[in-house]
Amino acid sequence: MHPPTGNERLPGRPVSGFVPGSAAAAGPPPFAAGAPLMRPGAAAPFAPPTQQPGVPPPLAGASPAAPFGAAPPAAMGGYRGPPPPQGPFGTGPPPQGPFATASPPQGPFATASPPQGPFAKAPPPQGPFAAAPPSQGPFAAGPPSQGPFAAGPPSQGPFATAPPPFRHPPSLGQPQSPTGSGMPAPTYVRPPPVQSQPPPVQGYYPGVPSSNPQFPMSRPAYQPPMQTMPPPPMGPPSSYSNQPAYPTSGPPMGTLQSLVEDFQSLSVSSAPGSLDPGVDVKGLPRPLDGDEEPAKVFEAYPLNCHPRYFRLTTHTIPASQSLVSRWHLPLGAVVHPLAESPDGEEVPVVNFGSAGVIRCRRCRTYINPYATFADAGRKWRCNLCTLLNDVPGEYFCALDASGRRYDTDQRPELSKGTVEFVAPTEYMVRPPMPPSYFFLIDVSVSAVRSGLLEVVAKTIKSCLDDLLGFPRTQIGFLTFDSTLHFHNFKSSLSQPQMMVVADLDDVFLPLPDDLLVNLVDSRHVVESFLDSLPNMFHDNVNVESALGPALKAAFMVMGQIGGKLLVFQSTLPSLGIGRLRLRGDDVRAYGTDKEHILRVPEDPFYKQMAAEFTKNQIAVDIFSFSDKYCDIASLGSLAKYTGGQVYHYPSFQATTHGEKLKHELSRDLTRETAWESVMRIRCGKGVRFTTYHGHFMLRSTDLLALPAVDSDKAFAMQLSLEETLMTTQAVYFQVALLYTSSSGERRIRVHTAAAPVVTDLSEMYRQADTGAIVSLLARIAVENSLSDKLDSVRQQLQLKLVRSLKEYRNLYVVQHRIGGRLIYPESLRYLPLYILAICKSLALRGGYADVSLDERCAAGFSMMILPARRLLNFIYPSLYRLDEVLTMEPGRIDGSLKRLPLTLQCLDTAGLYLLDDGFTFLVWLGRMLPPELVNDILGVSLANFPDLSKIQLRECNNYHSRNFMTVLRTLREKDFSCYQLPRVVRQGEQPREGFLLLSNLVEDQMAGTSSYMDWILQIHRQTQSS
Amino acid sequence: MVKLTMIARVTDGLPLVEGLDDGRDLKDADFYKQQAKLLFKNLSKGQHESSRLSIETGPYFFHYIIEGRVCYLTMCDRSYPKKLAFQYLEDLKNEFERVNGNQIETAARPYAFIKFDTFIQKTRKLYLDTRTQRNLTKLNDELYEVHQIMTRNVQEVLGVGEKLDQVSQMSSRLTSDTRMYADKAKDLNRQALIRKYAPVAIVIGIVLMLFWVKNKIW
Repeated sequence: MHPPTGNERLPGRPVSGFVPGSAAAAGPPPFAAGAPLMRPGAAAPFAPPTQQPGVPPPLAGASPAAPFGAAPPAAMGGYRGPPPPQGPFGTGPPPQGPFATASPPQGPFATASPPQGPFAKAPPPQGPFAAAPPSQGPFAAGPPSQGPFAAGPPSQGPFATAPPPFRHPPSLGQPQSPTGSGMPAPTYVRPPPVQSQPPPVQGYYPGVPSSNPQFPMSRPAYQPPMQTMPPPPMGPPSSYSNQPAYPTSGPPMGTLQSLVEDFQSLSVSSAPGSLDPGVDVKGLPRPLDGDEEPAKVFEAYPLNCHPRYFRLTTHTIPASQSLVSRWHLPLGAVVHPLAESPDGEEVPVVNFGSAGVIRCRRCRTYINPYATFADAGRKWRCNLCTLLNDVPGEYFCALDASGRRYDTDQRPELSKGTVEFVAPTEYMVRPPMPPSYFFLIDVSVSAVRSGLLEVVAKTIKSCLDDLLGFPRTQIGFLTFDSTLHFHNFKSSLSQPQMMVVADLDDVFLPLPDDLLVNLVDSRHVVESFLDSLPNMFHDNVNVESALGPALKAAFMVMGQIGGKLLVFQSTLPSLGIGRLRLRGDDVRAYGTDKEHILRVPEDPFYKQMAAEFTKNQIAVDIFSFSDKYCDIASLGSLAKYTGGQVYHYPSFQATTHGEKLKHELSRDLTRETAWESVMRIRCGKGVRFTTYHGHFMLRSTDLLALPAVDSDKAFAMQLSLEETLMTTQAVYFQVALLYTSSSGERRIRVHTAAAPVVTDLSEMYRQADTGAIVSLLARIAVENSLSDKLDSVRQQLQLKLVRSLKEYRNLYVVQHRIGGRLIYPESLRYLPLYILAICKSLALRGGYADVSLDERCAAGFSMMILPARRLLNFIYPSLYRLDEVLTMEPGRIDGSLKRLPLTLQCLDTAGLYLLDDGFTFLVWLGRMLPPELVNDILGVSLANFPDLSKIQLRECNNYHSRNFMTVLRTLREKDFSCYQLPRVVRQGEQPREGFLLLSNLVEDQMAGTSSYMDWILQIHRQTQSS
Repeated sequence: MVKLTMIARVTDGLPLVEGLDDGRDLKDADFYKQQAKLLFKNLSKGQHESSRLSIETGPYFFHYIIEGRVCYLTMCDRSYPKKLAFQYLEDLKNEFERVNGNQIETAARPYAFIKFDTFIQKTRKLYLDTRTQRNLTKLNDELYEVHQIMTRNVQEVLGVGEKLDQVSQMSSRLTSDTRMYADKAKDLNRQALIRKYAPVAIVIGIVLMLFWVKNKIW
């Protein structure tokens, strides 16, 4: 029986399977504190799956093998052959071959491990082997051997392909799946080995005997190799022969590589009659390394811009409509035009001088590295529309024999994917504007009481020196409650003058000038204003807020120049035009068709105002501080259509939130900003960008108007195919951002990228970029939530995932009998988890009671602008265990922070954990944590401080606290765009623990949502039903 | 009152600075800015007769001075004293040369000295009100003479190039037209001759014929 099945499978397929079964058995407990740590460390993705707690210590690297153990052992056991081969292994190079064979079992695990599916697998096997043969010593050491693997074949190259085949079939799938011949075996196998083996080694052995049952299973695995290899004679049965064969197989695999499809799979079927769900919880893939930029693409297309600027959801363009319709995920791109380079690399600046910017006559594409020159250098062919253009005389350069210009290397625009052009006068409708900042500050009683004014005034004052655009910077303030207070900053005054306008219906400016002034000239007036601001309104008891009229006044003041308008709002706007009403507390609306209305602006005033602002180059940032409902949905639309940003500080108190506001406000004021900009993305013939997602105003069909844009904002867009059949080899994309820098230069930043056209769906899957897909899906989901129920938005997400996996399954299911396994492409291994995380994100989770409407909307606005990396961290936050780290040398701390899976099982009651979602730090204190440690960190005795929500973490004069602060600092330094406010929560402290921490553990089951495992099972069931 | 202020390089018409809130209360500011740019373009073609000129446009006046290959231009109300406008430009010129004098030739991008606009704004404010003591003294200062500065109409100035074209076109049309006239004149001349002598000839012919008939009969 087995043989046949094996044969049926294509030889080449490297399939990795999870051996969930085996692990599963061990599953739940594994998470124990010890275990979690290991896995991250092990790098090993493997580790987690594999191990039971016991194993970890010794094998470290090898440990992963353990899990495999179950499966592999079977195979190996039968063969027994391994021992001899091992020798070779030990030696080194040859080993690979053998490993590969061995590895198969591991494969499954490997899948778990994100990075090197294949590799990982390889090493693990060794573990088992080692155990078996005497040589263990070496092997143990061996784990290092992984090194070779890893190093050698980069990831999936030959290895992956080759080894995987083995594994997948072998073990896992079959064991568990009823379909497999080995049915009985599986059950045997996994549980025994795993559980039995505290000492991994022995465990394997035991496995061996049992292996007989397993054999069948193992066989298939082997067979594939055989087919591929000449040595087939060895026949599955002969274990010995296999080994030799394998080594040989190694090389051939490389050649076969092109034929081989790699995918990963996860066994999800449970053994009949058992309660075991059949999924290895620990073996599920988890993105503990964060976002993976598609670096390979950059290597394959060195002329492309770096992926941090431009990422396609799959770095290929489907050749036909039918292919598009089979790709159920969104097809599009994430653009981050001003992304900061981690190493501070500068974008080269090009000035064409009198030649003017060189662009295609027809499609207006800028010259780029993919343009080709013809006619001895007198013409150039546009790579987007293939039109032949003249080269201006000033720009002429001769071509070498290969048709390349001699000066290519000296000209960044011909050799780099990202350049900036100096824009000539034709690109200016007016002289470059000076950076200008206008502050609209609510001074009603709630702002005064929360201490907001003081923090704002102090922060602005401290930033005056760093405001952009010295010496042209313009600045102005307007305060309001039920009246508008204008402030005259004329430079000849010694004190600012306040003018009150009470007529809200017909707002007028009390002064023609001096409301928005040059900072250098009026510096002393502005400073004295900021000093007196908190006191000025100290006794204000006005509860009203006339935001609408204030916006109109601001528009009149800054309409001529444009710039940034910062609105500090601490209550619901209650007077004049644009007043809003309390509407968020209508429980009955939830779950009905009217639910989404709460998430869209109520009053068209805000959208109209936003349109006016954009037209006049004004970007609005909203800072909202209300402890009650203040309709972020309406206020946020100001930011949404002007390229701004929404900051939400629920229940703001200066003592606790002050620090966060201070950092974020100064970041907002001092980060490099591109003013009065427009962005357009062009693409080659046959494709077209259809919809755009982010904060901007769409002017004409494809021009994004961005009054101000900075490095914290990214945009996403979807593509569609215009032609039914693409005939070109590659499609080119060009993002062009025309902006005024703070120093008053008009520049055009151009990113160019190429993507190949493919006719094969599996290639699309292989090049898929999870980060970009998740980014795009999240934005689409948030937008859909404005017109649909949350529930159906989540269902749509799930549907997309299911369809896509089903399609993928159909690609392979015929060749491989993989009943009982969920298969997915290596590139999308985290997608199911991320989609689950989107569904559980602040913006989309639950219903009425789970998240307040304002927080939900604010999170939605944030998700619309976050770059891919930060978005991924926001929906799947990083969890670290700190109590051990705190005792280390400060210098080693950075390297020893390991992310943990987001599940309650990872939390040890004797541990101290930190959850970082990019906006907040959540410090979780286990119940059994030594009180001294807690007191050290908090700086107060926990017993005397029952209300942890008010606590502030400060650096105290002790070792632990210093280390703790170092950790926070290192994490913050990774990303300056946001300041994570630390919040402390104790284990079991309800209800804070519930909404702060538990709701962020996306892998766990919460009210009405599934756990990661259930989710996988659910997805699997749905992909199978047709 | 000063409405617009622009500074440009004469050699290629590259704008160097433009006053910031200029044109705030001006309805068709864009139109006049466009005109000013055309003016720069004309200047860069070398068509300027003097280094100081006032140009009339609609309800306003452009005043410019050209010094050191830089053109300083401002637009004022008709009623604004010419003397003050030129002093304003002189002030700008002195400061601009002091600050950026040595970089003017190397500036490669438009509005390279945009930072100078803060000075423009400050200076402009000094000149806003013609009745301040400071401005009155300047007005009365006989040392600064503006009488010899010519005044032109903007259409004339902008039209200079255009008119030359027109003239050559007209003259060429003139030559071809005269040629035609000559031909026609000859033709008419002949016709006139014919008209003049044809009746006489006919009468003589008839008389001769009568004589001939008479001789036959008689």
